[in-house]
Amino acid sequence: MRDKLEALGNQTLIDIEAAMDAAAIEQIRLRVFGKKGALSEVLKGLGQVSALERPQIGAFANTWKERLEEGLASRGQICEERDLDKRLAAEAVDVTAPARRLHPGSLHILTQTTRRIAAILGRLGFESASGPEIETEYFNFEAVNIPADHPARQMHDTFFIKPGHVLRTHTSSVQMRVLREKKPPIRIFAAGAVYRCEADATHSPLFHQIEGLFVDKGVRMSDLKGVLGELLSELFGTVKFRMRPSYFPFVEPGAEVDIECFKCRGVGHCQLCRSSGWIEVLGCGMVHPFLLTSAGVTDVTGFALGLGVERMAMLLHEVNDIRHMFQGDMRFLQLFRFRGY
Amino acid sequence: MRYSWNWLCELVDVGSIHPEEAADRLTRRGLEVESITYAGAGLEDVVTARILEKVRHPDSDRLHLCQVDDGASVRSIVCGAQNMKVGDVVPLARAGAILPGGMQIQESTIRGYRSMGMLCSRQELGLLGDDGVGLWILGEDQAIGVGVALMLYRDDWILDIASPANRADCLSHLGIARELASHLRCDVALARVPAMPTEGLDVHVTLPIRGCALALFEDLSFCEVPSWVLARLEILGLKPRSNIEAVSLYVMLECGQPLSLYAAEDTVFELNGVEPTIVTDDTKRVIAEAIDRRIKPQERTEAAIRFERGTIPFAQVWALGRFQELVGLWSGKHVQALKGYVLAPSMKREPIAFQVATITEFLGLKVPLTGPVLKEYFERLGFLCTLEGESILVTPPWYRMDVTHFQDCAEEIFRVVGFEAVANTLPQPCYRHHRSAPVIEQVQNMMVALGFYETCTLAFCSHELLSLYGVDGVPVLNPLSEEHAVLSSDMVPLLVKQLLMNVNHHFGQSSPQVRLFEVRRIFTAEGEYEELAFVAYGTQYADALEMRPIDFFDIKHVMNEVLGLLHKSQHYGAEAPSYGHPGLSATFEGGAVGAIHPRILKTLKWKRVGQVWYGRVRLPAHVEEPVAHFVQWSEFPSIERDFSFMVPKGFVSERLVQAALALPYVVKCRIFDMYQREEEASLAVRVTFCDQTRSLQDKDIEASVAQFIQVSQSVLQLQLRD
Ligand SMILES: [Zn+2]
Repeated sequence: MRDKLEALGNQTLIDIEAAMDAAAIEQIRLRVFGKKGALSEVLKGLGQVSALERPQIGAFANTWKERLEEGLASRGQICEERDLDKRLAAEAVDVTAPARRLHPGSLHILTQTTRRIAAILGRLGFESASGPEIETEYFNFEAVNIPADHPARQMHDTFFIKPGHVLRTHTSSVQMRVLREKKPPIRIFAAGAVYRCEADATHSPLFHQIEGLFVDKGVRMSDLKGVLGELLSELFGTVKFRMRPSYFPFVEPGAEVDIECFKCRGVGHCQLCRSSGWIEVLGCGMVHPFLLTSAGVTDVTGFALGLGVERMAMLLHEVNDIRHMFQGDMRFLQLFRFRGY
Repeated sequence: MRYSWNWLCELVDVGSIHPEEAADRLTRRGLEVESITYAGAGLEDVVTARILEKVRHPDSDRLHLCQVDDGASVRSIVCGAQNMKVGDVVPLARAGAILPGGMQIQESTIRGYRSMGMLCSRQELGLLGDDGVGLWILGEDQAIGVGVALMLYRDDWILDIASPANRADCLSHLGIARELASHLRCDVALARVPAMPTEGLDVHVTLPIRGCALALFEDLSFCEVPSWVLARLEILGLKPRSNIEAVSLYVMLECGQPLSLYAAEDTVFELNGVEPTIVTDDTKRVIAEAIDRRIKPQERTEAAIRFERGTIPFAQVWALGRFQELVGLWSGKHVQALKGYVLAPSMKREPIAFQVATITEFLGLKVPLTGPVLKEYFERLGFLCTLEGESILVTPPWYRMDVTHFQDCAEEIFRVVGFEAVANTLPQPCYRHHRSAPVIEQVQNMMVALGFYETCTLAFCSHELLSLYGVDGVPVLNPLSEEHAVLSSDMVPLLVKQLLMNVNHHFGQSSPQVRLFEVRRIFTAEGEYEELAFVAYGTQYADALEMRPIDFFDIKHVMNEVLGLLHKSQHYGAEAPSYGHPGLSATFEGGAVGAIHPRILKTLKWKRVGQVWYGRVRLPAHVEEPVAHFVQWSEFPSIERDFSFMVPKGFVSERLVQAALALPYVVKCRIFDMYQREEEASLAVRVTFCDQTRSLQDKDIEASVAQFIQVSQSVLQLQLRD
């Protein structure tokens, strides 16, 4: 009995040392300790052992059992480590190979630019407003102080849809709709497509504008200057700007806003600013009293500003031809993939 | 519009300021000087010089060695011309000159003799006439050392000024001079003109005009207007056909009022806009006519530009008076209009009253302006101004029709003080509840995340393209071209066009990947709507690095994502839109998704294999974000059963899913396999059973399973596979 146990124990210890993976260890465990395992088989003979010897044999068997279990556990741990190493090696991939994920596309720079400007105006308390793109002639012209015989009417080469209806030539038409629908204080911006009957390297029959309108008690021109300062410095960084008196029928006083040319800083031969040192970026002014009175709003003043999104986008991204904007060429669209908005 | 700096200097004493500086000041005042050019460009280093000596070059038959005196020094010049003699005064281009044609003059040695410049022909100086004759001989009496630019009255600067559309007065030298004068605090010359008869002519006015003045002259024939006048008109772009026309053009450029000259038969005159008979210098009786009107021009002549902006009322009489004065001055004899006619509205201007402080408040000036300061500013601008305590009363001058109310006056002060005087204030902050990003922005972001590039189409297209797609639109009454005739009610045709352009022109033979989308306003007979449309062509990942062509279910996935964002039902019907592939298209409330019909692609000369995919969906103005509610899930295990069917072609699998979901205990039914052959297909679904209150046993679901099989066989006509 003792010999049998000894032989089984020693053989098992050899087997354990020879085991190379967790599966082999598990096999040995089953073979030795299983219900019908070798150990049980040997211990079946315990019945024939004298009662006197039985406790000693039992203790001897237990010692062997513990030794074998210990052996299985420690060898088992080594085998598990080996298995894991093998698995890790097998599962490794070339992490530098391209990702399977669909590459994201991009927002059009007109959208990116619109969002940048909308975000700045939004922080200044301006809310988004909109109006129809097929607009009545009245709202597009008369309502914003451009009567039929006004020279400015010819400046807008207008598309007609049906008698009395045009494709809006500017987002200023939204101003008047808002002035009539809402009560001051009004702080809105309107972004969207506008249409003019012209097409060349710098003009497109469809382009985009953003119009800001602020009407309240005691709005001053200095407020306009302050808002312009915020808007321009957020768009172009710290930049010198000036308001040059100009004429738009819906504002009085009206001004065009120039920023100092960021290419040449006003020195030397420069294509961007045509060597003037200044780049025209937007138009603005104090809301013309005609608009306020005809909307029935009294005792208030206001300012309005309007800019061309294409022009801004072309300046910000250094695009040289407006037609790129509307051709959907992937080589163009992909350029602006990583730009934030 | 072009203005002569010398002319402006005659009208106002500008002192020593340079045109560049004046231009900057005018620009800051709202008269944008777009360019300044020297009228004598190329003639800067060309002076008159006398030939003192002329001998034949020893080594040449044609060349001469000349000694010339340019007033400053005597120079040796080697010259190839033959037509000069000793004593002649000729133009000398000194070393360093760059002639109008671009030729650079340098000191050089010609066949062993130094030449310190070049004697010039008219042609070499960019002037017409005398081609091939040789040097331009200026005669023996011409003073030497005189700049040729000066001699030709081209020593002048041309300012190209864009004045605001409401400033009719600025389309004249007088108007710009007034602006300079108010800025430089000095007076404008040329304030009074001789009187003119206002009666005697019998004029019938049938044109819609605001006012007019006419004058009858007799025997205006005179020698010649001075050559400086013609030179000045020429550098400003005008070429008069006669002396008398030169005078009328000069008056127009000076005061802004166009003049028409008629040959007069008698004293009865019809003012009806009929083209007048051209007046020559020999015309005996001339009627000069000045009318005040604003009219859309048919052409871009100098007069038409002024009529477009609208002439200044009351300038007509002044213009005729000036015409009469100049004719007299330049012909050297007394000239007086015989008869006249004047139609003019009242010259009285209404004064504008406001409080002194309002200007400072309205503009938000850094330093408040006092009454006396304001008064001075307005008076310098030619306004009448009276102060009464804290209120001020200003009357604009007759030529400033654009000033009618307080804000116009504020603008005048803004122009005077400049934008630097305006403070920098920000409106009171305004706290507003901002909703989450608008629907359009969310949709744009989603499409970008799904691999699409945003594009922008022009909304316009041809009737032909729309009829190919069977799409309608809103026609434009005055389109730019056939290609821009209609505003499309559907962006898909425009996006497909851009997709084809990308594939055809830019990707050669490699596998093209094009995914484009656009969100924009579309136009239908019922109204305008915001819409999303997208197109796709190419492949996408099948597995690992392997690519497979995009299929319907990829595109449907894109549309599902968008519909999910909009909280719209993802229920599709098998109908195709007019341009859709009938078997690869689905429509739903407000949109469609699928492949473009191959017939359309063939017409568009599409040569590649594979489908062109499209999708479009109308976007609501805003989406109510639904609030999701808690639902207790089952704590008990569920049972799954798989069923496999043979289905006929054209079977709508959604019906099978719906049938399963209608049965007791069924919580989920998912299609997990589809296999299609010629005439039939197999479809496998996994149905999940579960209960809230207990663990289901096989026997609990037996009835549901049996019913499912029964419905699928008898109602849906499917055949269960084993
Ligand atoms: Zn520059």
